[in-house]
Amino acid sequence: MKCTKCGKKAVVQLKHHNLALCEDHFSEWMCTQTERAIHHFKMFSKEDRLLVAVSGGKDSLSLWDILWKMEYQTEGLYLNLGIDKGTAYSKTSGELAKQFADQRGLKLTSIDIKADYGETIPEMGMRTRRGRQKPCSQCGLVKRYLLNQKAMEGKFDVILTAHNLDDEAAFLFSNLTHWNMPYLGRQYPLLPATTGFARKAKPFCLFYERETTAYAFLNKIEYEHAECPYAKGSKQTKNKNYLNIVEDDQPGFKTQFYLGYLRAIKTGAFSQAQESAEALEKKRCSNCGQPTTSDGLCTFCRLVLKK
Amino acid sequence: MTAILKTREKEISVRGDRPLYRILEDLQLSQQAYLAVREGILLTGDDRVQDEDVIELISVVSGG
Repeated sequence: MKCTKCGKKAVVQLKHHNLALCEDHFSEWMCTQTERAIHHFKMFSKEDRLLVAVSGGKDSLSLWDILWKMEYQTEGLYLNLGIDKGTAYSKTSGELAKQFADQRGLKLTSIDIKADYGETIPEMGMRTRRGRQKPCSQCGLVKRYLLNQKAMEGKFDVILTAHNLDDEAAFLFSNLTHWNMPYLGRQYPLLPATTGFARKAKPFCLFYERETTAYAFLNKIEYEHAECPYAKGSKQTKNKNYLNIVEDDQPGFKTQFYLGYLRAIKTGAFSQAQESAEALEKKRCSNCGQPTTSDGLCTFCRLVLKK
Repeated sequence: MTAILKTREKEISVRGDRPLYRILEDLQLSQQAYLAVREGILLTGDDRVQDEDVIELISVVSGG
């Protein structure tokens, strides 16, 4: 197979774009497409200060690499969640994130959850009925809270996460099958800032996971290959695998599924869900002051204070 | 002789002299879920895998 642009040997085939690209043209295409997504969804500009959520995985490091090459103003935030389970997952991820930042002279802030809050994420999970087996909901809650808190404290304009199209399509699949309307109203690649919450953007939302992995490989980015030990057998992973089976049979299926959602949300299909989600967050946490849906403490403060 | 496909967890011996996508189909592995690397070079589905080739399969699916 030859590169559609230069005729050299292709290393990545993009059936859903009717393209095949060589090493150089693929990396160039990833940068161009990232820039297009940033402009199309009006995510941010070169004047904005961007806080990149860095996990040490292929997606976040590839995103940070592309933004660095395009000379955006970025800083990274790594959260050491204390996940080990015999794999040293958090330790390795943190080291790779630091190595990446050091090699490029980028600023990375690391937060150690155990040092700051007395417990790792799995230990927090052990205190809840559902979190004993898999502390994924506690993990998501802590990550969302701390990212927002650090962005607000550091006066960043935007929080960036490296969610890719496979992540988004799998969330969408799950949210649609459960008709989870509040979530369906909030899955757009750009969430504007609201009182107490920083703007959030997902510049990789139109890339397949295969493409971000190929970018990391071709650009010799060292990343944590192992997935989180608690993610094995998760619904999210299973949903990705189901969608990949359909994609093999119908190239472009995942893209059409996600783009269909974006068109629907633009035409107001989920506007009621968006309004009801915004209306819920009118209260303030009595401890930290962040907006919350509950009376008294917010969910994060309830988790970390009630030991 | 056979080709070897290596993932992080295991090694699989397969009949070579056919395109990569055929081998992945036979193993019921999604082309979406893996990148295939031979001697440091990424392969596309139509690249022919020869007997004696050692192919590294990199999983792309993460669920963290």
